[in-house]
Amino acid sequence: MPEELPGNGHASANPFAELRSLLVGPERDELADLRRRLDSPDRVLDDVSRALPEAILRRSGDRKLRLALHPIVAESIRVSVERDPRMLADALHPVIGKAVRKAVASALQGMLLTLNQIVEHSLSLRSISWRLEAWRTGKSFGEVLLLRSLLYRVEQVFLIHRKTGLLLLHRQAAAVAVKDADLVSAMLTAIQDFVRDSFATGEGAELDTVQVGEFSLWIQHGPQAILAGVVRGAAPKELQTVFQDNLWRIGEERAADLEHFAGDAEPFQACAPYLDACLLGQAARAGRRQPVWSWAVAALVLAGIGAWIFLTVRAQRRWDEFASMLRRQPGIVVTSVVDRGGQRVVEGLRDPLATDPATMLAASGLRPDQVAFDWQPYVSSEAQFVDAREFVARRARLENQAFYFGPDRSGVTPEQLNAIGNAASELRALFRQADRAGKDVRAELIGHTDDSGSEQRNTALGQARAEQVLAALAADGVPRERMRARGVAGAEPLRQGSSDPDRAVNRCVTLRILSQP
Amino acid sequence: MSPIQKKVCMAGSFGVGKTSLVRRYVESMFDERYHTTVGVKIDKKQVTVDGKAMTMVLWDLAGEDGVAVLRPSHLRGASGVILVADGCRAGTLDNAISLEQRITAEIGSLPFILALNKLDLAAEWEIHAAAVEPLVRSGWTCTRTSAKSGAGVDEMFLTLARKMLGQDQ
Repeated sequence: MPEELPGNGHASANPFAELRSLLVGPERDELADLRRRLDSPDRVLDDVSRALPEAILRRSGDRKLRLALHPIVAESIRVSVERDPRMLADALHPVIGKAVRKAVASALQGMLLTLNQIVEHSLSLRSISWRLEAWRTGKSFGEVLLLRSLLYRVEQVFLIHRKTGLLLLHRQAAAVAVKDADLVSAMLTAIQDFVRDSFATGEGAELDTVQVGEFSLWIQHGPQAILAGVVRGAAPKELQTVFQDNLWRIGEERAADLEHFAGDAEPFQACAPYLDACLLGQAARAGRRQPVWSWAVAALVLAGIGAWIFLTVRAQRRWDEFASMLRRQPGIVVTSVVDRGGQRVVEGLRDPLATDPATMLAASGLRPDQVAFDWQPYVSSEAQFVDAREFVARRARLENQAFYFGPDRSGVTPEQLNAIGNAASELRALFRQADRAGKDVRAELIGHTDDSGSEQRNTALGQARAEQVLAALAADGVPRERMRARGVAGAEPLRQGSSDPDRAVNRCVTLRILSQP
Repeated sequence: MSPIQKKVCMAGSFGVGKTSLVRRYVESMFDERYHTTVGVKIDKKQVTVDGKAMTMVLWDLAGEDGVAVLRPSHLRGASGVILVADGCRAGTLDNAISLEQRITAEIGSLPFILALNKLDLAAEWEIHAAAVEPLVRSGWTCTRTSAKSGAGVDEMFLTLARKMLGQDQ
């Protein structure tokens, strides 16, 4: 477009044009400039790019603008991540890295605590009773360990607005005395500030737990809110995870309410279930009393076991005593003891002269059905049995002997003296043996007659014969006081019969050995 | 409907009667030792303004002696400020004015109220109307209180509560 400036040489040629240029010249120039700008895309871009940041900044509170930008920004981020994921990873690293480190540290701490508990409890006396309980109830040892070792109760939970320290929601377990929760909430925040300002070194350092006697305070920090629990007893580290999860849910669900909180805690009433979920605890101390009957049963069982042990021990002791006595017993050799269905069968050798084991058994206190015997007879070479056998043989010899007399005679003939001398020495030996064995042994001389002659006469004759032999034995050194004479006449004939040989045999004196133990 | 809660900071020079001002008129469960240990003591004042219940959680900050540092963490999230000065000591008013500036610098402009305490000792007052006049003109709300007689104390809390509610609308 040609420029026609006022005051140049062509002005006089067209007075109207000159007048127009005089009147609207500057405006025409501006218009021309504007048109140029509008027609040039470069210039438009320049202008918009200059105004855009300022315009967005000015409308930053505008919901419409945010809505309009949202899909574009979201898409841009998506494309950007698709093209170069590293960029986002680098940008997020400082944030995520810290969160991951904290989570890992917390998990490790939890694991350590669990390990400590397991090591501590696996060797203690209590753990044995817990193992018994696990066996009795069919639970795993781990469950019982948790149940018994982690006695705790979360008594109160505070949800606190982080920035103001104001209480958003407070929940408590039943029957817990609660002081003013508003004040506690604010003071808790103040104390955390105090700790952070005074001691904390790093940016993310927070007060996590406070231990006060049997109580501890568990504090979880979210970006907008704090969840604090008052715990009585020793809670497992897992409790922290419960707090974390619930606080995270609250933060997610109530993000807007937390962001714009201006003192109205009403919307946070809806978070009650999350806080209640933190009111955990093991009411083991109060609730798990053993019923009385179970103690009674336990006592009975114990008494039964006690009685059984007592009886078993007593029976064993009695048996031991009996067995040792049996083994010491002369003339008895125990070769084996076999247990046959609860009954002991003793096998071995027994001299017929040995004491009867059955009488020993009766004296031992053992029941006859508890022990049976299976003896093989044998001859014991022990002195007392040799002696006893000799005694028996000598006694038999003496008792089988007879001193014969002529009809109606009572005097000892010289022929008899030899036999009487032998009998005397045998008798003396017998008495000596008896003395050694501590037995009172006496000899009875029995005077027999044949069946001829009167009864009266025969009685006197028998008595006289016995006394004659007694006198002869006494003369040969047999103690008189250990002998006695008894006339039986024909009452105890050696032979039944009246022939001469019968009568000759019956006219005699025999010996009987009387012994008293 | 639970009451609206507001965090209110109380600040003022040492010995202006800040603690006495609240002791008899608020709910409290912590004793003064918290001042020296944690640097703040928490009390609670419940008021009803225009039919609305409000719980003011009072952060009674340790007495400012001119050198002590206001902890930003204590101020964070506050909805209102009570500045307390001692009517008998002119210096405490200057201190209150400087406190207001520092608080505003720290967390921005908040509804606040200036309590000139020890009204019961009016005869010994060093702070006269002339000193307060320019402050009122520049938008300050000033009240005169007596922790001893209780005069003006409830009005002070009510006025601040109303200002804070007004801020919400």
